Amino acid sequence: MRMPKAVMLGCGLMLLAGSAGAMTVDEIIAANLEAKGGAAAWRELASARMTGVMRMGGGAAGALEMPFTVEFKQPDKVRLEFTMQGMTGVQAFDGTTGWAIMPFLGKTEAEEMAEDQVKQLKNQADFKGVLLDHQAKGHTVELVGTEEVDGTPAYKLKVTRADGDVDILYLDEEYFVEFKTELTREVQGQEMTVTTVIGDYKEVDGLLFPHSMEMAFGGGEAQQVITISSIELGVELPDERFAMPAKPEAEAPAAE
Amino acid sequence: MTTRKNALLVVALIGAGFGIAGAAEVEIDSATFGGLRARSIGPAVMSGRISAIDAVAGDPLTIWVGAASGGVWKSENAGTTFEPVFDDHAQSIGAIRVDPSNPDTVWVGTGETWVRNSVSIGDGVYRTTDGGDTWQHLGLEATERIAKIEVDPEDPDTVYVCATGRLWSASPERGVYKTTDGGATWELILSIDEDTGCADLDMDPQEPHILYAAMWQFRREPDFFTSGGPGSGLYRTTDGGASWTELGNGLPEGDKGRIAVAVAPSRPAVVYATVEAAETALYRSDDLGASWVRTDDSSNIQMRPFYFSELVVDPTDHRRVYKPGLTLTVSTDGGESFSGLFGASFSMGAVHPDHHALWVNPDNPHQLILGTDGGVSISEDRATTWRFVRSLPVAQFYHVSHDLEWPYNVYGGLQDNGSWKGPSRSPGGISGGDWRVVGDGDGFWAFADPADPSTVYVEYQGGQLSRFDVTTGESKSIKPFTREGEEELRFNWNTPIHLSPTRPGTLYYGSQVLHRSTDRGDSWTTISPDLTTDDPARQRQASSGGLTVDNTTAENNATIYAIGESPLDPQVVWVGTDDGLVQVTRDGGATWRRASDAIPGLAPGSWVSSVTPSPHAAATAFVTIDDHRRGDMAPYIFRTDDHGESWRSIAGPGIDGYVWTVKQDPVNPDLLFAGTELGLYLSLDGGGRWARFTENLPKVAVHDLAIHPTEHDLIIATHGRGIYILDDLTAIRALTPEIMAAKAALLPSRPSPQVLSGGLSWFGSDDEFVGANPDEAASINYWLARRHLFGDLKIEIYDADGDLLTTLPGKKRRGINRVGWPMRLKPPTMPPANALVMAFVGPRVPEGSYTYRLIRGDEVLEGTVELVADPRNPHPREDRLAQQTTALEAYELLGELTFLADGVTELRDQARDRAAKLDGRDRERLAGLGDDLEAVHGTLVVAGEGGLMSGRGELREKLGALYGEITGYDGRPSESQIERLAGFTAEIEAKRAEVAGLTAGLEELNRMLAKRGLAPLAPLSREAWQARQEGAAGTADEGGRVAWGLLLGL
Repeated sequence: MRMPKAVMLGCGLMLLAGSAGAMTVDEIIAANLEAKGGAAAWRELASARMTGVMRMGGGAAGALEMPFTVEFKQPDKVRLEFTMQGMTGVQAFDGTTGWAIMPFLGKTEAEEMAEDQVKQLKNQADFKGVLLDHQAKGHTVELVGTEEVDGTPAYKLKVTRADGDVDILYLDEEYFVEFKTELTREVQGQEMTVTTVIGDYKEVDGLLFPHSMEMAFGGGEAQQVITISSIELGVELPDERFAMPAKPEAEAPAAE
Repeated sequence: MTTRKNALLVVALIGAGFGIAGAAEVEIDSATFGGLRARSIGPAVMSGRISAIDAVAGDPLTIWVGAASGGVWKSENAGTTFEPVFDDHAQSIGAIRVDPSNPDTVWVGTGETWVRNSVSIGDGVYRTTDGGDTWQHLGLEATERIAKIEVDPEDPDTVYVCATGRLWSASPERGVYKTTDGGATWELILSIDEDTGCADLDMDPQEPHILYAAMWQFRREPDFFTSGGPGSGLYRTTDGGASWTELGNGLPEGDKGRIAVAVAPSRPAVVYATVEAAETALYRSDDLGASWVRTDDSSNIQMRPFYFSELVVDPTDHRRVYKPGLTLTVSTDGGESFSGLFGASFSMGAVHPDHHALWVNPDNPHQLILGTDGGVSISEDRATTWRFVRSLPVAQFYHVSHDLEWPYNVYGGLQDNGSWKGPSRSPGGISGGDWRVVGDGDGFWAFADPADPSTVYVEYQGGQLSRFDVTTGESKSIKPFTREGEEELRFNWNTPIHLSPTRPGTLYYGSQVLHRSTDRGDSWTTISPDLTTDDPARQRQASSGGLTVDNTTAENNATIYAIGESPLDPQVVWVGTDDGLVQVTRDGGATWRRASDAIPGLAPGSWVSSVTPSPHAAATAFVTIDDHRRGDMAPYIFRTDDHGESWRSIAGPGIDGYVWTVKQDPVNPDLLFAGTELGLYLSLDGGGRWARFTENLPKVAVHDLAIHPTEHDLIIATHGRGIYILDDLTAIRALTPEIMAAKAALLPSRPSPQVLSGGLSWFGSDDEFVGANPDEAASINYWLARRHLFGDLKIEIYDADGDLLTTLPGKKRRGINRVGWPMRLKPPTMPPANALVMAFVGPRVPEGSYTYRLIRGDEVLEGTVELVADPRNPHPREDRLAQQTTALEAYELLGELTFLADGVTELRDQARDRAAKLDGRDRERLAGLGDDLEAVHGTLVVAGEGGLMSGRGELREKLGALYGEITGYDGRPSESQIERLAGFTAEIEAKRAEVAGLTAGLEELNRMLAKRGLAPLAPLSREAWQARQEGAAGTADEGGRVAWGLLLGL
């Protein structure tokens, strides 16, 4: 298979750094960003739209699938739409307010989201990943060590986010890209670990994006699989797309 | 880019030392098996032996449970649920202690010290500082077992470990160890001799420099147990272990055995001790151990000190003393007298007897947590009533078998927990209620009669054999008796039952001779002489026990332990004994030959743990040798290809732990499975190299294995974690060196049954363990030589016409990958409305063969999967087809409805948009059209606010429900359903006509719009709609969770 150009660069870095075991955490992060297209190119990126399909459950329940679109606008805006049985749910964060429309049980108004979900939306708005400019974002990263994870030798990085949440990232020892993460998050007051296997990296306008995420909540087999079919970078996204809509009463009534 | 140094190499090494006939050595590791996962089916209904408990008083309670051979479990909700937190480490737990100054720091001593014949082994001390997420191994590997750990409440780096030491051999690594640097270094601060270890340790909670240590001289042999000797004694230090004094002054003179010691936390001058001696009794000291008075010698105090030596003083009342033992007794008068806590002195009611651990809540002494041979029970009323914890699947199976039903059932017996039958799959998962007890006592072998699955052959300890009728619950004892003139029959604790693989109704049973019955056990013929050494030195069970005689048949020896009839030649029968002999007959028992003489390097007297005839050649057999009961923990596996004339070792590199069993795969003769004390091991080259199977299977003792002949599952009997199943070995069987040399290759799978849609299950409860079902999906298996990182990895499924049915994301691990295809079309397309309809999944595709393409970057590999009906499916093929056809009709009709509704809403919105830009009559006309379309839409779907409970239903809701009904039943739909579906077809046709009527004047309207400079009304074309649907059929059970997942995942 043809290897993306960026990955070749990453490999070059590794060679420069000498033996892999001797790399520092900063060198590993630099190699990771270089492999994904270079920190400078990532910093320039202002917005993105990703489209794909989400599958739920294992086995027969894996038959549940739904399309989604997620849009990001720097520095901190995100909007997610997903469709089930023709109905579209929305979750968004405009930099201040996190809100959602969940029409599936009959409620079509936008509502403000719970605090812990808003926090995750806020984290999510940083779609370029925790490693890019992590110091400026207030995250600390430490190299825990190297270990074989599911048969793959990996660098294990522990990221303590500015808000205290902890992400464990496993970077392929050869290509420096993340292939597995373990995120510990507070959900409804309880700690939950989300394990995500990341793959299908492809280049989009010179930047390397994963196009597949298999997620497991609290261990075990993946219960949700996200497949991204397209990624558009630098899309025009007005701020209003991220703002919570006004109450329906305030909207213009349908013509009579 | 360099090749990874550990990349899988296929090494063709048929060398002198490792020569395995017919199989080149295949280098494997645990990752070779990739994403194949064992699934735990429990059960937890009877749980298993618990050896240690600690807890943190708080609201809610945090409970730590150490299982005898099932690892460490943590509950953060007062015992509603438990999570295993120690799966990568030794599963035999001796001690757990939570740091009193930090509840996230917990010390675990491995190696149980309730040293019954079947006890497992540990490998030192571990500590977590993050509540159990990660563990550090802090040494003391050679201690094998640890009874207690005490942490200084004033200095968490100062910790004392009570190391009991090796059970089956002498060793210096035993006694009391102390660290003052958090486990970095240890000092042995109390040591007697190589036969005497520490059996109990307690610390004065107010003066942590004062500790009491019970030293115990003990030894187990294959046929004998000794508790007691001159080494035993009770010691005290008052200076943190710098010096020790042996305590006497009221304690019995002469040899002592196992001692338990407990300081009263509320008044530490009061110390209690049970002392095994010629007359075992409870003693109390009121002066920090300086002097002692004998207070009680009731039966529960005296019984089996090696197994029951726990003593707990109520933390708030120095006169209230609990004695967990055969039952739980309590004293309220400072140990002067004891009474039973279960209404009677012996409980057979709410709590399993044989108690090993007890925790009393210091903040609420009415709350007790008790660990027994049968799990954990919790009392809130000071031991008056008990709640059994149903979420601890730590069952200790000795053996496992299966029947040929679909779904098949598994059978097996457990340490002190009878024998059980349970299904390999069940609606909603395999829960406690799915299991049925088929035998009591300690259970071992259990087999369903292949000719009559309602008959189960089952036994309890020491050779008590029964035939159990599952239908009526009747049990008939069918054991053979000693006949006139014969030597008394000797039966092992774990007596082998063997069913003839060739003749239903024929079974074998082993004492020192081999018994055969051809009438389901009603009569027996002896078909061998004494096949053991008959060494009198190994027949000492009547005096076994040491100071306290303990003759329970657990030490019976010089007996047959393993039997195997060749599946290819019923005249060839193998026998293995617990005293080191392998015997074989080639003439159905007329003559016997001692085949063990030819086993190279076999230590005389070693226990033969299994003999397994090969399913491929009558002259081939496998034996495993387990000499751990004499202190040798090494793995021994031998193979013969000439009826035992010669043997060679096949315990190649990679295998660890003493071996219980080995099985040769019935399809691939190079594929071997071995169960050892330290897990499940596989070899792909006939034993040249081994690798542990680790995915969802802890490092637990695997005592037995069975391979299901029609489901091709590996059934794994663990002694400590219940039964696991590795579904569908087909892919592993196909893992040849050629496949493994490829970067990617397809692997086959068994035909996938379309499991019947029925099977109701009710709401569960988090406090009950539920075993996992196999995926109801067709398995697509493939090999990857390394992790896939770049570019697509996906699987496309095609029908017989070559039409693409669906695309699945691929798994990406090194080794074997398994992707499940749910055997359904995409979920139905539904028009937007205001609530979900019970129509979430696509219709099943018909049975048959399907092509799939594994797409990996530019490479495409093509294979097929076979879909078959559920073997129970009672519906004739034409009825199944009728169901599939009708479901597909309803499915497509939902698509039609969606197209219609989408067209209506789009045109409505266009009309309203134009109306807003017009005025006068033109505005009215377009607004009118919008309203008319809105009215039609209102008959297609329930729109607007309202939701799930509104009770409203239009075409979408009604048709969706009908679709759900039809897909939910695998037989012919009812006439009423077919009629209703036809009605909906007509109705949708009528609506289409109605819409066509409303838009008849569209051309004229569009001319008008053109004149006004407005865009024409553009009805939605089928092509445009279709394009929009591509990859976009969506549905789900709960929106919030989906979005949540997306957010965390991206």
